[in-house]
Amino acid sequence: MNLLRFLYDCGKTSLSGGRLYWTWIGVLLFFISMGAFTYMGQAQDGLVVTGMSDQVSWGFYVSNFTFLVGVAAAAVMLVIPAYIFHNDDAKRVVLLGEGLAVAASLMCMLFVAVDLGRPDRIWHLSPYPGMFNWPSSLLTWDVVVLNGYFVLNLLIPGYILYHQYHNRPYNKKLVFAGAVLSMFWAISIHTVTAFLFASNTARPFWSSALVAPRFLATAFCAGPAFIIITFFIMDKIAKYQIGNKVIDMLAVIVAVSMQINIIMLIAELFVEFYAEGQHSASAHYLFLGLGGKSGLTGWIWTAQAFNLTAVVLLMIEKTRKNRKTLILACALAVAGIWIEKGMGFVIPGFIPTPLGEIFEYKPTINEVKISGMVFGIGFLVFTFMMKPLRAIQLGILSNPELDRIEAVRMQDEQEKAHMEAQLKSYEESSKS
Amino acid sequence: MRRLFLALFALSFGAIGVFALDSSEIRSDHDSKPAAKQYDDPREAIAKVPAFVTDPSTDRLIYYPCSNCHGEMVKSNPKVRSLADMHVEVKLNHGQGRYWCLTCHNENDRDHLWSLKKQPISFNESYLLCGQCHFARQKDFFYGGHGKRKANWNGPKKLTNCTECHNPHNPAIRPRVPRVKPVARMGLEVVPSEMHGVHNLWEKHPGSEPTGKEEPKE
Amino acid sequence: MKFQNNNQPDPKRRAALKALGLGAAVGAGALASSGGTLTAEQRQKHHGEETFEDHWHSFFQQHYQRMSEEEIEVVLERLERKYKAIYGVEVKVENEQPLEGVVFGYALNISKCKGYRECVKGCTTENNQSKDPDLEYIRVLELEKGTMNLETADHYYGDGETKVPQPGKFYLPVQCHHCENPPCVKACPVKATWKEPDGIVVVDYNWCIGCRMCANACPYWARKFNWHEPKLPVEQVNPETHYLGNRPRFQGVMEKCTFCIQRTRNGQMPACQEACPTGARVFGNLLDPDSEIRYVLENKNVFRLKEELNTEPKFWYYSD
Repeated sequence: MNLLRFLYDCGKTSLSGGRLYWTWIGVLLFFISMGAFTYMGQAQDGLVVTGMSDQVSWGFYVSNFTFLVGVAAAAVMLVIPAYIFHNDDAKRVVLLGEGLAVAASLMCMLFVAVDLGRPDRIWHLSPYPGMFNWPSSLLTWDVVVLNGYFVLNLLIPGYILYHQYHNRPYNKKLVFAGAVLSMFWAISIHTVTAFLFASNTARPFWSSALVAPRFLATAFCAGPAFIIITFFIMDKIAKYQIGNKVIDMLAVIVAVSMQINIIMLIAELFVEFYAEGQHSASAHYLFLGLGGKSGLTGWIWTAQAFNLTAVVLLMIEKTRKNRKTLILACALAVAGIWIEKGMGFVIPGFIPTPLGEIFEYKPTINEVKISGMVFGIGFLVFTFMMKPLRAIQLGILSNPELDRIEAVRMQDEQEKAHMEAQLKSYEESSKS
Repeated sequence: MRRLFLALFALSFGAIGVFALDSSEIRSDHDSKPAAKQYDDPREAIAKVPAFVTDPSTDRLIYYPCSNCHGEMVKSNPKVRSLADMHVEVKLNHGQGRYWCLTCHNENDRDHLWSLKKQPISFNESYLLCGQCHFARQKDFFYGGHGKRKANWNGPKKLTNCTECHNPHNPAIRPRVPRVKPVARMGLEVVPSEMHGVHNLWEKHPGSEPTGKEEPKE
Repeated sequence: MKFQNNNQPDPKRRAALKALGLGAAVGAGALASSGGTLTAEQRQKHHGEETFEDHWHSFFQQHYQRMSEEEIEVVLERLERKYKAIYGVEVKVENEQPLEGVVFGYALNISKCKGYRECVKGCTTENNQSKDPDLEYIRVLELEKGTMNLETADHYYGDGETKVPQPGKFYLPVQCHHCENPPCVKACPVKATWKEPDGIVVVDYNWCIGCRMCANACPYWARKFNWHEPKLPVEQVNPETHYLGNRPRFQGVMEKCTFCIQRTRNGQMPACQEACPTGARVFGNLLDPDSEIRYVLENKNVFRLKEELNTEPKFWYYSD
């Protein structure tokens, strides 16, 4: 009963806001609606409406999926300081990070769903009545860890917020255990996604031991950068103050992760290009073009420029502490990683094909619209979660029952005080 | 003294004789395999290969049975020449002039071919003839490395006859136009790719390209 | 903003504006969406009438390996009705079991292959793939003699006039090699593809969810996807089909060479072997020591593609 009350109140909070809020919701609904109707066309006509082919069989959807798994994993960057090291500043904002993880992992699952040729058969993935090829198929691992991560990041903050709503203390040990679990789980979702690609020995570009560490490094780059930007938006629009210490901590994390990413990039460039064998053809296509085709070279070099600029801006303390340059650095980091880890990672794995064919890929407008729908849904879910989160944390939203109890208690106290005062005056009058 | 000389003379000739016999032994094979038996029926050469059948070739021969003309009407002319009166459409492009018609065609019975030992071979069993020279191909043919097995992969074995693919007078297979090239899936186009890099070392060194002196296949 | 009284904005008006605004956003989104980009004639939808019961059973059909013989019979009968409704042809869907003591193997003589692509077209004639553009299971590569570098291969040789074989080139047809250690089977999340006892790697088209993970895993680019509803003209339907083989497929599922399972389990040669005019293709039972395929493997110089990946393909290439 209390739970229902809590959920109802959260819902009511989400659906209340000013003009700016509803304009934002309207924009999101526009993109969601546009993508939804486009998806209906895709469901009817098949994936032929995308730019994918037998040569490049995964495209824009899986690229976004790969990027977002990293963003989802980055919530752990706040979980560790907050629940393990009991950093108070981090504790204030960890719930926001976990809300981001929920939205990101939801978007991941949606991107996989829109990429399927037969979404009506998604029940085939269940252990029974479906057929779940675990542990052999890496995709089944991905299903397990993504769903688990989604649930974990709904439950832990939900548990904390629920208790805050009722003005009750929560079981710290339980939260600690959950935090440790979600820490390992966050690493696992991204490692599993990396293994999804690395398991294909048929694709030398992906079949490298460096893929998993690089994924983790870029995740801890893009995720916290995105969180920083979210913080600034919430600070400006929603008047939700966030301490500079937390922001600086996150900015340092982005800087260090980006440095590690660049080191790994250099390692990869060396291995691919020092003694260029046939297995380096994909890297050659990505960075230099192959067989007269160079569709991705402009993108990848732009991404590297973004990454380098971002890391320099974040390494210099003055620019890291300056709000404007910090936002710029974070935006560049997010964009650079989105290119490098999305299309810049997924597409070159297919070019050239295992039979040596160079067949390029370009996303169609339908793919972009449907991806817009998924992003819209993610942002919508994130927004709807942030509103009650902020309200409960600021004390604006709490159990109305509590207010009633409080009112009754206050009234009791008033009556009691009144009666005592009366008794006292009685005694005094009887004395005199 | 003379007797001693005669004895020595006889001994040395005897020794030479012994050596002569010995040298004939040097020339003979020392391995223990017995010499191949001569046989009358060419089919005996393939007695041990896996059993098979072929489709009859005589159904596809225009002039068969040849004895319609070559029985009584036309007299056999064994002189090696290029034919001028009949069968002029046959361009013998087999063996580069090493043999001619009657090397394979049976002079005494034009309804049959014949072996090098002049044993008759049916048109339907032409592999017995071809295999006299092309014995390596013939072995592959019997065991499955050459030619084509028809219809089924188990059970009774049916093979193509040599002449089903090869024109015996002009056996080389000519180049032909291939079937249509593949296309991209619906909605996409194939963009021609530029092959990159040199393939052979000599392409980088002018003057060492292939001269094309190899006989072009007609 | 119109005020009702006390300078308070009218809540009803506000709510109405909000609803209108959001509705307009959704509607604008719908208008800005793009539907399928195919024309009506490019789409070939199933215009057969299916009963609700058939739809229901089709949706909830179980995995092939979980069904009993009787359940499979029911499925086959339903599929035959469906194909009859779509194509107007009596399509027979069989379910021949693997033969005992048989594992199929294939060898291709690259000295004999001239690049005619007869195998490619023989296959598409037999196996009910989508046509125009033809979905082809076999891809013939033209390589320069002296190299096995597949990156230099030309997939699109032949302009309608140039003859093959081109001097200095050799030809390498590639199709599903039916590996003994198939990476596609490992990758499939729903076990829609598996290796049968006679060595053929099959796909259950009614179970595949179309995630294309198997296509990523295949080192031979053998697996093809139905990006749209397959276009199969009625006159090109081959009515002799197998459930795991050449029965007509659907949008959104994977397919590939099945070693013509509908033919080979009946003792016949696969369509590509029959179509090849040069006799370059040798097919048979690897477990039969007297078979042609065994002779080739034991006596010829054979190699396999990408052997270092340990996929153990059952497709060899040899030369005379």
